[in-house]
Amino acid sequence: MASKRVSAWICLVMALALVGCQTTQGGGAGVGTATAIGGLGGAAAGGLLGAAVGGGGAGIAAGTILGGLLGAGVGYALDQRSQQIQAQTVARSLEAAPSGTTATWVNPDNGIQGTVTPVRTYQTTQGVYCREFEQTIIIGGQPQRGVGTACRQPDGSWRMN
Amino acid sequence: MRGLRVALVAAVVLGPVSGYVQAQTFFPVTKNVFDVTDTNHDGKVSREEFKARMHEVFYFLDKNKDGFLTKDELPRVSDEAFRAADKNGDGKLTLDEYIDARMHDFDAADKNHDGFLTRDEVQ
Repeated sequence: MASKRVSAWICLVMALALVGCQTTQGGGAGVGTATAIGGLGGAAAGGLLGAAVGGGGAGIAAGTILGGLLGAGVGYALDQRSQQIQAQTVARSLEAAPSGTTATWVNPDNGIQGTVTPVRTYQTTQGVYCREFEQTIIIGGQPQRGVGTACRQPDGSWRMN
Repeated sequence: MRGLRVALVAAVVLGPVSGYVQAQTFFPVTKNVFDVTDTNHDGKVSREEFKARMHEVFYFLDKNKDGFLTKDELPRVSDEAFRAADKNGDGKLTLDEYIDARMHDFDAADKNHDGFLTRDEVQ
């Protein structure tokens, strides 16, 4: 009971950190070597993707982009390292890849892989650059697809809309 | 007759200064445009496809990502073409100014004026 309460607290803290939690069959919070990602409005809350190239950039809030793109009702296992590799690939792709160009990534530790493809670039009325993109993440042979929009921040990072 | 003459003189003299007349190509449309701009792969580039592509070109040309293009960021564009595109004369192109100039290039290349560019129409 006590461990259940602790797990619930861990889940809540992670939710606030824009990383969702998925309840496992045993009733405990699915927080372990493979972190479950859920929606929880991660993208709406505005996750920052560190720009791997170009204008420097802030750190990576790993998983936020996944929460926004694929989280709504999906929920799947993606470990922290995979999130990191994925976030770096997305940031690099948004910064420098022309629309229609697909970047791929793979976590060599567990074989989880994915693709990122910018599809449209535009400027808001405030002069902020935004890019729409599609992404696929393949876990255990099951592809999860999603679309999203991220806007470039003055520090070179990309914020999910 | 005198009014017409005055209007013609005004157009010739004031046109290039005010930027309302873009006499020359800003940057030629080449066959490369088909590689990435023909997004529906129908073998021709529509005005909408071209415009969408130019939004992206603007992003990549804007090296310092300040939301404007300066002459330094457009080394292959002539000074004259840059000035013509720079409608408010502030020395930098907004996205709208850049798009206007490039759509002018599109229209110039669209020889049969059907709203599409074909491979025959571009260099």
